Amino acid sequence: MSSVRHVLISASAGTGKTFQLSNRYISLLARGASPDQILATTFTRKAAGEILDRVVVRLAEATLSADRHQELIAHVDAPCLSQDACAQLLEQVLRQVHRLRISTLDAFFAQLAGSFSLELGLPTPWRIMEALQEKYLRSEAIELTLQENTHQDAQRLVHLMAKGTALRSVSDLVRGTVQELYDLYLETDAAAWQQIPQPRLLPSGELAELIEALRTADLPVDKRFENARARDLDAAAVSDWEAFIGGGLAAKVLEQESTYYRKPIPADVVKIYRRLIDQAKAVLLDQMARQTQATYELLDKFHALYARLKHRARALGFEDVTRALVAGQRPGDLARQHFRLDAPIEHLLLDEFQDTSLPQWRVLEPLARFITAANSPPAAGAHRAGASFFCVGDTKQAIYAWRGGKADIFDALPAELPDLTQESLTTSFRSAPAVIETVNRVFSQLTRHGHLERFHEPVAAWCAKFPQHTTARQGLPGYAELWSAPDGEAGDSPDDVKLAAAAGRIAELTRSAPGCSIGVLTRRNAVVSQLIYELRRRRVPASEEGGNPLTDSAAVQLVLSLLKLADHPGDTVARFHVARSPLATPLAYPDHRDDARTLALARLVRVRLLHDGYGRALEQWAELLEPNCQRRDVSRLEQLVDLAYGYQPLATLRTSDFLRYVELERVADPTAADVRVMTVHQAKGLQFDIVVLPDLDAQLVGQSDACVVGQSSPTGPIDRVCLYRNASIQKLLPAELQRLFEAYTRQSMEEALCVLYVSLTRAIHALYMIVRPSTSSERNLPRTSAGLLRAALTDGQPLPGDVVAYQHGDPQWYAQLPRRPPAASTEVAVDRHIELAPLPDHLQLEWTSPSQLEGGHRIRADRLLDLSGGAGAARGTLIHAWFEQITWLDDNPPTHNSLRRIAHGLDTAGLDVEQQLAAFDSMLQMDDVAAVLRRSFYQSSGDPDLQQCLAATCGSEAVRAEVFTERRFAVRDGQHLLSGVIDRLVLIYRGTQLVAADIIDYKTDAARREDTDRLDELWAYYRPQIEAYRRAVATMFRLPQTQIMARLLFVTPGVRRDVPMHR
Amino acid sequence: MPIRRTFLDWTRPALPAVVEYLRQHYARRDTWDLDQVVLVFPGARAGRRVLELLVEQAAGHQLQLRPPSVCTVGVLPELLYESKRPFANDLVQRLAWIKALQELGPEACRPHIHQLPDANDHDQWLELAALLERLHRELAADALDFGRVAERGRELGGPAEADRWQYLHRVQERYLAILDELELWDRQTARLFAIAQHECRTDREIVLVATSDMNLAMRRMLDQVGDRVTAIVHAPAEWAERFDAHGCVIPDAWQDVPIPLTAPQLRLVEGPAEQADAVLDVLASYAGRYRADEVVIGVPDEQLVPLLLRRLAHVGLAARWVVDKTLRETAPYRLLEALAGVLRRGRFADFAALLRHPDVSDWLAAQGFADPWLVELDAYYRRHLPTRFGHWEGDVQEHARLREVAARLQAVVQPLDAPAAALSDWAGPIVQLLRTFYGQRELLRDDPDERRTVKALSELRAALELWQRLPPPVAPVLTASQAFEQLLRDVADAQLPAAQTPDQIELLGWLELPLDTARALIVTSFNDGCVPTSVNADLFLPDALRRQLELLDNRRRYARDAYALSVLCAAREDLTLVVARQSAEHDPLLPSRLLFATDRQTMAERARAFFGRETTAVPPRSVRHTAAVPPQRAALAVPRPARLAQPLTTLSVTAFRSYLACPYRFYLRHALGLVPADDDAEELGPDMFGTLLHEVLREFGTSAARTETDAGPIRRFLHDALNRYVTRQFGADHLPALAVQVVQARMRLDAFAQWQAQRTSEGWLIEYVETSGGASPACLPIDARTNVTLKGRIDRIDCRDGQRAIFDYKTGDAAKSPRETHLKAGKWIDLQLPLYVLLAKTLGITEPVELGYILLPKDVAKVGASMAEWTEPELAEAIAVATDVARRIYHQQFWPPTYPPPEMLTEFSAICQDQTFHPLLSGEAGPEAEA
Ligand code: SF4
Repeated sequence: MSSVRHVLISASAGTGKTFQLSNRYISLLARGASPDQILATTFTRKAAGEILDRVVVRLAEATLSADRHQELIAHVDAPCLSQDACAQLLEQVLRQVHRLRISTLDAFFAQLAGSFSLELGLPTPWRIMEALQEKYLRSEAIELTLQENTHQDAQRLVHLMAKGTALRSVSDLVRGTVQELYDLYLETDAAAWQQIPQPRLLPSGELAELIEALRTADLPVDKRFENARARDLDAAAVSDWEAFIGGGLAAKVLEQESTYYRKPIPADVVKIYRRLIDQAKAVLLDQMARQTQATYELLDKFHALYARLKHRARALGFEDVTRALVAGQRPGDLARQHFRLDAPIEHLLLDEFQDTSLPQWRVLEPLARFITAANSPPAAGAHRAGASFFCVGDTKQAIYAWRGGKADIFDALPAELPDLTQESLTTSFRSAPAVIETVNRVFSQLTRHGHLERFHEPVAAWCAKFPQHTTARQGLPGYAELWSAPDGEAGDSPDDVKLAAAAGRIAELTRSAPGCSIGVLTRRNAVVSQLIYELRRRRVPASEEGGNPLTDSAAVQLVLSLLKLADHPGDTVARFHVARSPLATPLAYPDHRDDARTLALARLVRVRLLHDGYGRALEQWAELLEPNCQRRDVSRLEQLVDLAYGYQPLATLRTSDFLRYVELERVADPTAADVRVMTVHQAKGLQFDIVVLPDLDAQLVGQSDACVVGQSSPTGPIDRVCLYRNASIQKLLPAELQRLFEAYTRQSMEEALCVLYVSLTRAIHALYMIVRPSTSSERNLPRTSAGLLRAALTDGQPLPGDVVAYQHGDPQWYAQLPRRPPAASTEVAVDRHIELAPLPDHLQLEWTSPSQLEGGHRIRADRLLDLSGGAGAARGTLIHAWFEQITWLDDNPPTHNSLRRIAHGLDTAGLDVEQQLAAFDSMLQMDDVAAVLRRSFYQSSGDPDLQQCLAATCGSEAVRAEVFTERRFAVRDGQHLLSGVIDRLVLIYRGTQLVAADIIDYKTDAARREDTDRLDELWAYYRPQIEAYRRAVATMFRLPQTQIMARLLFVTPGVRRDVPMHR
Repeated sequence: MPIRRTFLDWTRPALPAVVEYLRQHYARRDTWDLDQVVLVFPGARAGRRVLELLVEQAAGHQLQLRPPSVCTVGVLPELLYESKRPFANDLVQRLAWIKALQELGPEACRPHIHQLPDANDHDQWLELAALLERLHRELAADALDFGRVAERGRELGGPAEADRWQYLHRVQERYLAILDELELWDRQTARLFAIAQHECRTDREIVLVATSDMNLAMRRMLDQVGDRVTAIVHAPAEWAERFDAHGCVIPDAWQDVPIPLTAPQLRLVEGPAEQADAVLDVLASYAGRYRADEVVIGVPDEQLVPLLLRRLAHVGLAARWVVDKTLRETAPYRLLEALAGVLRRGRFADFAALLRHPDVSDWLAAQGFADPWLVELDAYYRRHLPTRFGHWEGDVQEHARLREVAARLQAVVQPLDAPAAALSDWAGPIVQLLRTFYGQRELLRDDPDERRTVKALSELRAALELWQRLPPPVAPVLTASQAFEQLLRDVADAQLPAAQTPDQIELLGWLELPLDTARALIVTSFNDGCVPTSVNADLFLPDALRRQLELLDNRRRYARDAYALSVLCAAREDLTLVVARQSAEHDPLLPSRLLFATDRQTMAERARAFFGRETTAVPPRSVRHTAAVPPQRAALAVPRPARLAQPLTTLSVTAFRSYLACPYRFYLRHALGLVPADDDAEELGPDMFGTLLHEVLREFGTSAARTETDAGPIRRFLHDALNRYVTRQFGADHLPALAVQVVQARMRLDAFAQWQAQRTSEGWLIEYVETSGGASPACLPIDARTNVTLKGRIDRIDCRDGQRAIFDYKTGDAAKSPRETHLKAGKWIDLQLPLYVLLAKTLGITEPVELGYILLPKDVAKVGASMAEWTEPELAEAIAVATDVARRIYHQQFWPPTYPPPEMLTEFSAICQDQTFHPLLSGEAGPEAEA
């Protein structure tokens, strides 16, 4: 096998990454690679599925069609691959589907970690946490975090983290901090959080002197100077140094300016200010350092508790898995990995590489290095001739930095790995020329925006790197426009007006381009729900990507109210909701004020949930409700029932847990819509006929993250962390910290451009960009995506309302499309009638074993909960086994040794066998017991039952008894198949004629001889079982039941109780 | 003598043929004595089925049957040798593994086990032991021990792997030694010993029925009694060379066997729902040809069972899966689980869960606690935010009943509040606990709920009996909550069988199918991983090592299933395989490899059909009822308000905001007084936080400190008042977040003290605090004869030289001015402050007053007054609006609700269908009717 080049491909949007991956995969197969040696990873399970689909389908088609075969070899790096060879490769893949390694990176890591759980210190076994479980565990850890701190600690932490404000919700604060910073915490060590220099503070005496000096300093005679000084003195007096440097004279001095309102600031005053500014810096840095440290401490405490809870629950997040793998890395691991993974990985195919996080790369790195190292020794058992590395990504689409994605690694790879060939793909197989040309125009002309200020440089750099795109779909009708929403009324929020207009525009598009998929992409989550609301108001069916919680159905809400009532009978809102609904009648709950009925209903609901499970119980209530529901609600209810069935393994005694679960779970509406609304992040990897972008007016670099971080190299660890501070404080920071903020600004800007790029490139045919009109106060282009687009696509002048400021392509593009049939109804009638052949009578037997009949149909629970025997069951088994050895006591009773041997084979833990042996001996001494075990019993006919039986028979031959111990039987007993074992069965013959039988059942219950009540109770308890034996014997031997005796032998007290025939 | 092999043609089902075989060989005149025969099956179900057939045949032929022993391969070994010692049960084995690991210690385990579990982490110890136990069993089944692997491991994974197996070997030796000391036997080892000593004997006839995959130990044992063994192979005699001497499949012989499946037998579908649809389709296509008992649905993936059962029930078909429930889902289990929570954490929430267990509330009811203490429990929580249950704050009357409930429960739990003890000692107290809740019950077997309870209680008792018999050296010393965990683990997966009736279609696992007798079979989830299963990567035994050691490996799994599928193809009149593309979690699924055991053309076509989604018609997702729902049907509507018997004639000044936001929600809140209830607060919510500050400020307003002009004493007073309030309301035991919130509140009060001192020095004095006005009420006129009375409480009125200022304390995080709060886009949305003017008038304050808020926001720099500065005309307009609102309320104008929903009164979101696709008001036609 000749070696394959190591490749790194920059693949712009829509340029066919999956196609490239499948080419590579097939080439490797063709060159003899075994499928289990090729690791192909991507970021979603769907994408992984698509890669495999593509590989298989292309090979299958090449096998089936000569044309497809030609197409295949044109793209695959194996020109002499014959059609027959394709079939062979296909077979190879299909026969090894269980060994394929085409998966998400997370899944691969999970498999790896699963194979090393013990070495990595992971709990065994572990699972990946469910979203709900994660939420609970986090909450619990947060609660414990607060609890474990002394009050003072907690106060200090909260105070520091809340930046000195007295906000109410502590849980929110802690949860927010954890939410935002926990991932960062995991990637760093304590030292990284201690990198903020702490300059010396002035001793208080000195500070007082300085303030005094300022108070008394001579200033130019100017009210404004006086006011400024007064303000600064006030701020200094209360140590509000942030306010101090925020304006007035201090700000001027800080900016190195020498005048204030054009008057020079006296030199000695400047000097005083300089020293005070130093103090301000020192104080603020000190605060920052302490806040950063406090944040770390909080996260650290949370981490310890959270880790403990997860360990206990044996649940891990994917990031825990990755981290464990990083922490557990040892030299020489690869060979063991290959062994436990059951095949060496010789080929790496990495998709969406720009989204790889640093820890993920740390895990992959040894493998990548091993593969690309020319002279490394071969892996155990593998030949190393043709290892290969292949990686595709696009740093222009790096929008997952918030999730740890680190595009820099992609850029750094060529330097890190030897012999990497770089390629780039810029021809789209997705978009129409109008779209691609618009994209090109945007990203080559962004710098026409003249007011980017600190963002200018990163924007320029991004554009400089941008390769012009082309498209392979030249004939595709297409269109792009930039439209300003109409002006609203005074007092209206411009965003509301714009979103309403966007919804109107989308409604129009659904009418003019029916059957086209429409992707409405937003930057913010909140906009998604607002748009959905607006679209629904216009009766445009729109679904949120990933679905909505089922609470969007009134019927579901009603069922949830019923559950709420069960948990909280005092909830009058829920009570009213149920009582005034169609459920009121079937549940007999007409009045929400009726306390007694409420409590009864609450109990009923809880009982049904407990005994039937959530699925079955909800199904029953849903059925009550369905006659009052329209289609959509019916289908949502059905989904609720599905969800409830799925929830059952997590079920608790609290319905509130289920309610939270329902709120968290998103379920796609089965009445699927052409319009899908989602954030840009969710749109990654998707494409739509039409893309509408209504959320372009948010600040480019929006809400800042809580922290900025620094690292020594793109692939190096994060070695410093600093809480985010606003621009005025940034100015006070030492240069090295300021650089972190600059880098942060650049990254945020780059990411904003990536988001814009991803949004624009999702469109196949048409792109509608909707922006706010300019306000009357607009002086410059805003620093928003809208501003950038206006700069690149328009003349940059203020934009009035309701104007198409840019258009390209054919506004009537949809007219050129073939008429698509309206989206077929996704529902099919399943109102099937299923017919089965009729059952004959007596068909299948219901199984019964007589011991199941113990106690009859009514059982007292304390009887089931009797531990008094201690080793009761074991003792019972032993004694039974011993009695089984006895045929006739008058013959040769078993020896102690043989009894001991029998005991060996049984579970006699907790029993003293010798003691039991002695007890057994004494049982055999007891009259009631011994009598029936002797032949003489049946010959003397002293027993009244026996007498009666014999009297009913004719003949005068001698009576002969035959004994069976542990006699198995299986007979039909009405509709039942009765099967079991009779302890001792005596058959009584007159001559050769079987005339009667005697059933003896040994019972080892502890009871005293005198305790007749207890014995009566036991007798009644066992009676149904004995009756069943009697029926079985009657059937087996065709004896009338009246000829069958039955007895219980209570061997412990030595009492015999006959069970006469029920007459 | 070697084992006899008998081939039974596979064109008919195996079991009837087996019964026929037995009759031919064993029936004599009128008796059919199989007493000396042991029938061995791969699974339990076939054994039951064969007994049925035997009984039927015996009846049909007028034979008196002595049934055979019937067993599964798993228990056959113990019939073949005599054990010298009692066997250790599972629990003892597991505890012995733990002991072995512990004795070898934490040093020895490294680096193979990163860290042994904590001493008190019993649960993790059990898991680790279970892991080793499984490994031990699996290896022993193929006659191997860890030491033997250590020798072989070197060949594969290098020295590190070999070291690991060496360590495991030491643990295993220690484990066996421990059992030895207890004079117990490890079952697996006993078997190997019997083999080694040639001790296998039997005087019965052993008939193996289609045991096509037996492990090595079993085969060796059978070899020792070969002359008494017959292996019945369900396959044509021509295929004899594909089976070994024991009648087991020879893996290599099955790898390339073509499987004659035809296209109509295959159904490619999307996900679980479509699998269920496909099953229904196929059943419908039978068109009455089969009876229920002649159809079986194969379910290799048990996850599909609930869905299938439901869908079958929907079309009126009864179906049965062998397991009704696991013990985990029964009431007694849940009770113990809840009790374990109480013992482990003892949080309020744990009690709250326990008290919601119906068996607990019934037990309490039986003792006279049927009253709404659950309502009181919620209310108590909302007032006092306790972390634990059993400390009581507030008035005694308020929680007298709860205290008693708590006392009862405490008394029950008390015996378990003991120091750690040997596991055996916990059996008594735990069973006592169960007796407390269940002991007095009479349980009916006919009632499905109670039948489960019977079974659950019996299982629990059996598990506890095992504890009682634990040999002391291995009995762990555990706390009560650990003991509970142990018990829950012991029983959790125990299965409760489902009831059976003849009209049911049976759902069977894959392994049961070859020996089933139904004529028609639909196999679902015919996907790789289910059929065949596979293990590649593994913690201990990756496939390559398995192959090397001749353990159950992927090839053997494939061979087993290829054989099984061949049987199904041959012996079923109707066979359909349903292949899914997605799991319930939307993960892509792969088709079974067995589908591609065919010629290349078919293989490629199948591959294209399965993997090329666009080329196959994906059946649309069916929605059960919806197709049948008439589009005109009325939808659930927001209920209209019912006419009130009495119009509202008293209104709180704050209620106007509600009405202006939404008349309907106002009605729900203020006319009906509906309030939600919950107990999930993690800290003080905005209301309680507000109350906290208000209470402190009220006290301050009537105290001597109110005249102070120095912040110090004011602050001191406020601190004291705050502490008093917190102690009174929440006591020492409260949610952890609350402590911090109190500090946050104190910061706001500190800032208030500063402001207050300043204000007093400016000459302002607090005149009224929390006043609801004078003796004669403030009113708004409805008409000539009717007034509406205003209710309200003014937080405070300040006075300076006859000039007055009316204030409301605002404690929200944000510092919103009165104007922002009262007006939106020039319209009044709140009327509280203007209406205060009317209330103040009843105090005789008639001259113009200032109106404002005293803000206590999170930004303490903003603590202080924020004045309204409305003009007289503005205020007059506000009163006019208020009057209008009062009239509308009086005339019961509560309809319709406001949409989009206001940001307040969100508790009515379900009733008002706020989150709904399209809220439907009573009296309107539904959206679908229009469409
Ligand atoms: S009216 Fe005058 S006397 Fe009365 S409280 Fe006000 S300032 Fe004091």
